[in-house]
Amino acid sequence: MLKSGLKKILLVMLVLSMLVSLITGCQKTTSNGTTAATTTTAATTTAETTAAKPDEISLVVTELWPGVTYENFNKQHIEEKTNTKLKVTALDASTANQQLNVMLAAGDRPEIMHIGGLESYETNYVKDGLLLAINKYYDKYPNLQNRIQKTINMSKRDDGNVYTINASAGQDPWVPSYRKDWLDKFSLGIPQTLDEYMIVADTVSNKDPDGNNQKDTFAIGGSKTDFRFFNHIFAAFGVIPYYWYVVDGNVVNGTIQPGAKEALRTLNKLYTMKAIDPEFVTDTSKRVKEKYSQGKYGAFCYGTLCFDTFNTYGYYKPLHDSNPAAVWAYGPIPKGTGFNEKIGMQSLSEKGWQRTAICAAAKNIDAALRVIDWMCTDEGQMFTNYGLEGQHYTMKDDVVTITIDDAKRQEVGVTQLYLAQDVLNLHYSKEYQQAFDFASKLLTPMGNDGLDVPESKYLVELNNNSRTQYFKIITGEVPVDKGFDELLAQWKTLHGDELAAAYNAAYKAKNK
Amino acid sequence: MIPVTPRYNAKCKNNIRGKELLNLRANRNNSLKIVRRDKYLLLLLLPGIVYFIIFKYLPMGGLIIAFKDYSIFKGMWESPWVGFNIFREVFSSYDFLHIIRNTLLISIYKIAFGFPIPIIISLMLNEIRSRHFKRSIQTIIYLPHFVSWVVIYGIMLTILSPSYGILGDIYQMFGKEAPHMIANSRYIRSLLVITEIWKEVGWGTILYLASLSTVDPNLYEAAVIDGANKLRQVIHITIPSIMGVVVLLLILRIGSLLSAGFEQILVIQNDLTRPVIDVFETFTFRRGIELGNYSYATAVGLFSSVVSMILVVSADRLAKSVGEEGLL
Repeated sequence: MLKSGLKKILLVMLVLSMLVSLITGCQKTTSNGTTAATTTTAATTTAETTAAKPDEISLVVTELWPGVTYENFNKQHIEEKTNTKLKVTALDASTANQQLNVMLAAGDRPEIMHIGGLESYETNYVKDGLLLAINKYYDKYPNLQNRIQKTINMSKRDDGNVYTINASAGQDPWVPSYRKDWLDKFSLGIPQTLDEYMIVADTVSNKDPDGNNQKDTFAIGGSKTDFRFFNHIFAAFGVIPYYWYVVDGNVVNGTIQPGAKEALRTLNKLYTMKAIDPEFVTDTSKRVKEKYSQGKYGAFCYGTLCFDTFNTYGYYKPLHDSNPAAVWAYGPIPKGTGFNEKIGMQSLSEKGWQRTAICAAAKNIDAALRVIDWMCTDEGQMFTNYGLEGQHYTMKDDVVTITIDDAKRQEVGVTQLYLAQDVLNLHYSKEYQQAFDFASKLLTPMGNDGLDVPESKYLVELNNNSRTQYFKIITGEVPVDKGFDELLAQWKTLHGDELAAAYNAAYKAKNK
Repeated sequence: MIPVTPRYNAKCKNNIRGKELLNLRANRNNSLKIVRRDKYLLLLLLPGIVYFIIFKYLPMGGLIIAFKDYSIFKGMWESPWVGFNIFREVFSSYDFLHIIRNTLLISIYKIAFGFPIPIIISLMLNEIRSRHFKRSIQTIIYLPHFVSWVVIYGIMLTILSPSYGILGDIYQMFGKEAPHMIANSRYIRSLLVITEIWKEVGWGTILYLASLSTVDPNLYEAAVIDGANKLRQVIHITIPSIMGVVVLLLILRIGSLLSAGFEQILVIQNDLTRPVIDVFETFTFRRGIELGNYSYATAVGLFSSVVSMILVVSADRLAKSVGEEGLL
């Protein structure tokens, strides 16, 4: 009797515990995995700068370093400077926009949020009345105004308001780069024309420049997600692929220009003569960096960080550790048929590949503006870029020397919270500065920067399709002429012409 | 309320409606008896039922967004109706037929080559006499099931990479250049099928081995007495004993014909192979989820579910028509 009674009690308890765990699992969670009821807040340890209680604001940002906490010195210092308490939710970069949409749809109204660089995202939020018109607060926040004024043409929407600011403004110019020691070995100079480049490409790929009796070097490497490695070939013919730019007052996309066909023909030729690493279709940017550090590439388009002898971001030292004789040099775009001095390399959006916005319905708008305004000051910019002088860096003659290593930088959180950062180059070597200045002259501004048209919903599919077709042409899977004709036909089917017409109309309306 | 008395019951027995009422009452009494008798079992079942109601049935109401121009800020009710426009957009998409073809081809390859292999392995394992050896083999072959596709893709690159993979080294030994199989549309479908088989074959043997363990050993003894050799025993005893499970799993597999392996394909595909392995799920993910076009994603999902339901019912009917028990 007792046993049967005990069994019944145990069974009921088991059922109840399962129900409770089911209900608990339904609780709302933050993206950091803690339940809403138990979210931890920052532990402020320093004294308040004013007697007023800090304003609590929530931020939804794109995670800079996966898994690295935002509860650090960087956040605490910003809180002290602005008399705020920051509650940071960091979203994974690959799904940040979707997650943000879900949060907003659920009624969350963070004070500050990162939104992606596609113009349509901003348009949708503005249409739904979610974003604050920042320009209406200029009189109270002059630093914010000064920063926005630098890109006012891009930033101002058709209604005359400004809703977002560039979260991280700065360029990342790429430049044709060569293994100078290999060129010297074969008495070749930096190529100035495409014909010279082809000789260089063949030499560094097939003449065993590293002297190890193996065919393990290439002129060009590439990544499946970044086509910039081939940009110097396209620029030789006066075009920039996957990019909208202005030619004679018209916004065009370089992907379908006649020069692109000739560039593809050249790339196919380079692929056939084994000057292009065949793994470019599957390699990631990280893998390309590894191969570059091993000394596999000798004549391709790459970022200017390779020239930074201070080894910021780890490009210079690994190459020179594995290849002590390596000398990396930059050169001009090799001139081909149709070369145009005004058409060079892609530049980053001035309006921002990532933007910071404030929710119109948030509780503490003034506090949010205060934080962003402080970050726009010189003090704020230096802090965002480098941390505190004397503690994390030293400065002499306008040159910054970072005194902490990468691990410490992550621990402290330097650059982690970038809401209105102007990326500064004060900490790079003079070799980098020279390369940067040279490469900056090759940049061509975006033609569709700040332009929003309904047809931009076709952009992603157009780019995906074009890239597939390009890869097929380069690898020889389809003949160049046939492949390019197919590309043009697909461009029309995927509304590419409509998109171009819409961009042109918007561009002309904005620049009349 | 009419009192239920023996006289009333006797009256009811004499007319049809009365008989129906008596049956209903009897059934209700039986049902109540069953509930009272098994109340704790039913209580134990309750969380599972609640889970299915909340997470599987209630969300089905959200399917209406397939017929709306859904905005997450307006919500389900405020978003405007657009009727079948979303479906028209889906079906008139320039690569829709192409996607269907890829999906069906890859699914059919996986069924044709992948479905029989766990059965064959189970039959082979069933014949192993050493329990220890049998268990070890089972454990080894079902471990890949727990490995994620991201890790498997890394393994594939390590083996198949022309420059740093094992295959590349082998080709170099013979002075030749290895093909880049992962980036080649001629090889990629075969790679999908092979890796899927490698990953799932062990897991698939579990159900068949469980079914084989219930076969009466007397049948084998009787077969030996009748002069049947091993092959005949397998054909006439072993295979028929697992046929029910095979048919059940085949029906379920046919029902998911439009699911060709989302995670596997998303990880493995690249720009050169996308035209031949882009399937329904990756198409939906790209066009619907990544671009925030939830109506589009829901419409495609609804279409896929309706087709799957038709396939399951048809396969079940077919199974029953050839004498098998079926699923429904």
